[in-house]
Amino acid sequence: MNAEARRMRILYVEDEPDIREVTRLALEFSGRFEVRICDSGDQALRESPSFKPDLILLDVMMPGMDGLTLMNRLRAEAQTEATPVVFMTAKVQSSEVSRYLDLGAVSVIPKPFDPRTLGDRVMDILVKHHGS
Amino acid sequence: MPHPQRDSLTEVLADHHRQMLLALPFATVILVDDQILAANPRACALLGADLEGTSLSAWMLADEVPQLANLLAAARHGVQPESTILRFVVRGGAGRRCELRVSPWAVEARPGALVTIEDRTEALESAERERRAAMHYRDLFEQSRYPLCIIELTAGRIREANLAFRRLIGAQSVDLRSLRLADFFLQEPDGGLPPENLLATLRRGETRGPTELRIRRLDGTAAWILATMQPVLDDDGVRRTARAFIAEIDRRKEAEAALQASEQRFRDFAASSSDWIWETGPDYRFTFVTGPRAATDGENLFYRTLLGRTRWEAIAADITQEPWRSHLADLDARRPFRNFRYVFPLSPTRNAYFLVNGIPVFAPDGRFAGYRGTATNETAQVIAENTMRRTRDELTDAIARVPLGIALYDAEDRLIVRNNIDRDFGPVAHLIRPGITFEEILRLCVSAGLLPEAVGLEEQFIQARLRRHRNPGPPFLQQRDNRWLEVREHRLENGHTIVIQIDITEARRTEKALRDSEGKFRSLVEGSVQAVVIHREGRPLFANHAFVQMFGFDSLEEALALPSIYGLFVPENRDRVKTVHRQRIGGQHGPLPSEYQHEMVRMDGNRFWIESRLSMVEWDGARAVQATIVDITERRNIERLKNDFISTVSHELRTPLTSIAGSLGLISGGMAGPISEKAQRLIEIAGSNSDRLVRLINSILDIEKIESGRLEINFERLSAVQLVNQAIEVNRGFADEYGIDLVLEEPSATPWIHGGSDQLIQVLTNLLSNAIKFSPPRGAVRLAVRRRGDTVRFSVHDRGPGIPEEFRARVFDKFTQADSSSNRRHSGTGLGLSICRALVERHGGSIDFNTQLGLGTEFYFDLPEIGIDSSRNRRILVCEDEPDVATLIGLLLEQEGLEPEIVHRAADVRHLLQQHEYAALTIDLSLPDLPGLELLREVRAMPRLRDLPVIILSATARIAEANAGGERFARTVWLNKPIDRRRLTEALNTFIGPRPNGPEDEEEP
Repeated sequence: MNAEARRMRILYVEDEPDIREVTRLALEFSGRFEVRICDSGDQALRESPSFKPDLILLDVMMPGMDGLTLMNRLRAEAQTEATPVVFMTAKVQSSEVSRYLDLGAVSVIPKPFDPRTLGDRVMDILVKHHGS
Repeated sequence: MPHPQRDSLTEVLADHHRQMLLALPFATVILVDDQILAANPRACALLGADLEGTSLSAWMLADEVPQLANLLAAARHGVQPESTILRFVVRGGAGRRCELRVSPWAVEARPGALVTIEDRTEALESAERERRAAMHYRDLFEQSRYPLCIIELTAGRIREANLAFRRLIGAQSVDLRSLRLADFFLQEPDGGLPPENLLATLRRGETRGPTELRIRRLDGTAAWILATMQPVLDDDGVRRTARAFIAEIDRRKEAEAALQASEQRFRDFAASSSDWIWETGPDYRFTFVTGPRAATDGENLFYRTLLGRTRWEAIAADITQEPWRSHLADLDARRPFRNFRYVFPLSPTRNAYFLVNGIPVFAPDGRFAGYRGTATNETAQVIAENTMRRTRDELTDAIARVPLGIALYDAEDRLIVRNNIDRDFGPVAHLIRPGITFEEILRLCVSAGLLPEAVGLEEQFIQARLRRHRNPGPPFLQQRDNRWLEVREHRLENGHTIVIQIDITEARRTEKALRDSEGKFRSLVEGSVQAVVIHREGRPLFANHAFVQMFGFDSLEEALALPSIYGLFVPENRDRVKTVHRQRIGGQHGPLPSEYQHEMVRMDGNRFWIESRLSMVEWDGARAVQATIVDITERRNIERLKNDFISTVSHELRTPLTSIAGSLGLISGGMAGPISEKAQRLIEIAGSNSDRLVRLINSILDIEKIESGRLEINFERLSAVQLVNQAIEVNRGFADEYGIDLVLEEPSATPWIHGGSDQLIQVLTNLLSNAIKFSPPRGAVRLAVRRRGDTVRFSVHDRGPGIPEEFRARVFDKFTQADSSSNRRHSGTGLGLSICRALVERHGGSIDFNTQLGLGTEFYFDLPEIGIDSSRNRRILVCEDEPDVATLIGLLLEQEGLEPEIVHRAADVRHLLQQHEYAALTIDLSLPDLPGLELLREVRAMPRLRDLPVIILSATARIAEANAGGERFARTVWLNKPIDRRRLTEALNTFIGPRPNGPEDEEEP
């Protein structure tokens, strides 16, 4: 699939409104993504079947359902079972990063991130995951 | 056969007794408290190899145990009970009937018994079989309807006759053996043989009959019978009886039928006679000899050769010599003789020994008719006696060789044998000869001054010693010269007394030292607030009070009764922990000593956390694991709170920072539309400071982790040069930003170190980024890797302004920066060097710097080098004359994962240094045989040992170092006692590197 052919759909889950806003702006600013924002895991589970995301961007520490649980729930859904998951987290000690990767995340973006390069970074991940 | 569960004293006792029993020709055991202390090989062969340490009753049938108890009780009271047959269960489970002889035998004041066990099963069974067979045939014989009798061919008498026969001749109540055949056999009507002739015929082996004979009943009436008489050829070829089958004429056919039916059985009966008797004629030639049934072929040959010859002719003896001369004198005087012994050579290699008794026989007319008597083949007995004599000689010989003093006195207290006389009796040795009495020897020793205890009260001492000797009791101590002897006296069954003197001077000394040292250790451990348990494969051998309390046992006994201490681990970890321990103990996966944290279960089911430190110890002569345990539940709770707090704080701080940095980034990226240059500048300041805040948070997390020891370092062998090259690659981009060259000096060597590559690259990165930041533009930062003794030095050299004098002392402190006012683009957090130091120290290394104002600064750190072979020599030779201190040093070294070997004298050091390679040597300055300093000089004088690391451990070490004056000793550390554990560890680390594994381990949860 050619990533340039259409705008890639990103499902983004984050409980913190300010970070949600900054991230949304950063991704939309690049002009290459269609971003669906959810403030909780429950909302993400409701919306993902219709949205059919190309990539899922998850915060780890959230009230209610945390990012890891959410990833496992999305894996269990037919529509999202193979969708790549990327964690965005402030818990970035090396042992934690390797744990997320072991559990099946394709990448980890540490917080704070540079909004000017976030779009490129997400695109790199998508290209790497889907092949050229 | 050492028994694994016995203490060493018991083993020593057992060994003495075992030696003593070794030569006894019977299966013999010594019991103490009804347990078998020692058993000789015969006993083991009879009952089982693993006798020692068991109860004798365990080897016998349950029914017999009370009887054994009675015998032992008697022995305990000093009474020697009669020998008794008891049934044992031996190898393979077969029951054996054994004859037990129990004698009183005290060992170390504990009641005991010496028990000989003789297997009598075969003898008893065969006697029983014979008796039954004889009874059986006697019954058949007696109950037969036909008159039957056995005739003694020589004497012409009836030996046996059955009821029918007795009825026939009317002699129911008369002893037939008083009758001669001639008394009731009448001349045959057809002129047949008179009884004498009949007997002679039978003796020649001819069967008579069936023949019609007339007999005269005892009441005078006559009867006709049909008799068949057959001589019985015994196994030895001699005919000594004939059997007569008789029928009254009119019952002839029935008699013939009976003959056939019983012939076989009768043959057996007749042959069952076991008497061996003989008769001679007046010329002393044998006219009649019966051999026992069980005679061998050789013996049968002998019996046959006797007939017609005299006793001496048969063996061509020289009758002019004794014992024949006296024997012939007896015979010629017609005297009865008793217990005449002579030897008959059966073959060139085999003799038979005979014991003969005889009486003269006179005819009714008073004529001398010859001799008649019995003989016994004593061969087996004589062989047994010879064996016994030889064994006794061997025992005497053995006694002469043992280092103990052993004396045997006969029942009259006269010396039979004493070994080591010259050694033990010095000036009076020439007077000690067999036959001298115990009292005489004692008096000789006292007057020669050999017994210091007797000086001044000689007679009193002699009397006391004699009383003791006459009633041997438990072992006692006696001084002789400067030695201490343990004296054991035993009265043997035959009234002999055995006196054993064991030199225990050395043992007493070491035992006392051991007791003192053990006492100290024990009270130390008993009173320790740390829980201590010693176990072998999980089975607890020792536990202290703190252990009992920690796990909530009711008592120490309960704790020690635990089947396995692995049951104290939480169930989900039990198997894993056990496997890891077993591997460690088996030496498969690195050394055992290490600190582990585990979750455990108390007796009440509650869970808690411990930290344990394991080491291998010697316990009852075998390896065991000693665990020192601290309850760290509280510590873990606090740590968890702290971790949670730090994790939360870092998350909570980063969350707003993410929004701030993100927003600033979006604005400066032009997303919010164009902004003024001034605003742009301000946004950049805000942005760089939020970056700094993030780095600060990361550094705080890093340093917290390192200092709390929770940092996981993946230790591996690393090439120092490769590591530096990696660090250069990582930092090249950053250096390029500043226009700085990173230059690695051509390394002169390629040393290896042991460390975590991530952490060491972090250290180098910190040093490099400082160097880059402080370098003048278009300058260069030089890196180098060099060998320095046993360590590898990594250095980073810049041409910056240098570190100001007043700041140098605080370089590695937290939150310090020389130019905190400076306005650099990448200002640091003030934690970088602090992190470097923490990481380097975790690697067993050290970090420092050289600086010159205006010229530059060199930061360097040293790490221990490892050889190409990573299995490092960890043997440390410890020379320390004070046993307690030596033990302590040994423990300390063991806990550092080292392998101490302890010696007490300089001579041992010399010897061992020649034989083995050691990683280091520790020396106490006050050694019994050489001043420690002299030893150090000796060691240094040997080229091979010039560089051997030496640690002087002494109360006067520092003074000695000062007094050594100009004399310099390389690779030597001087440490004062009492031993400062930290400094000892540091010194060892400097020389031989730290332990390869820190407290973290795969065990860590």
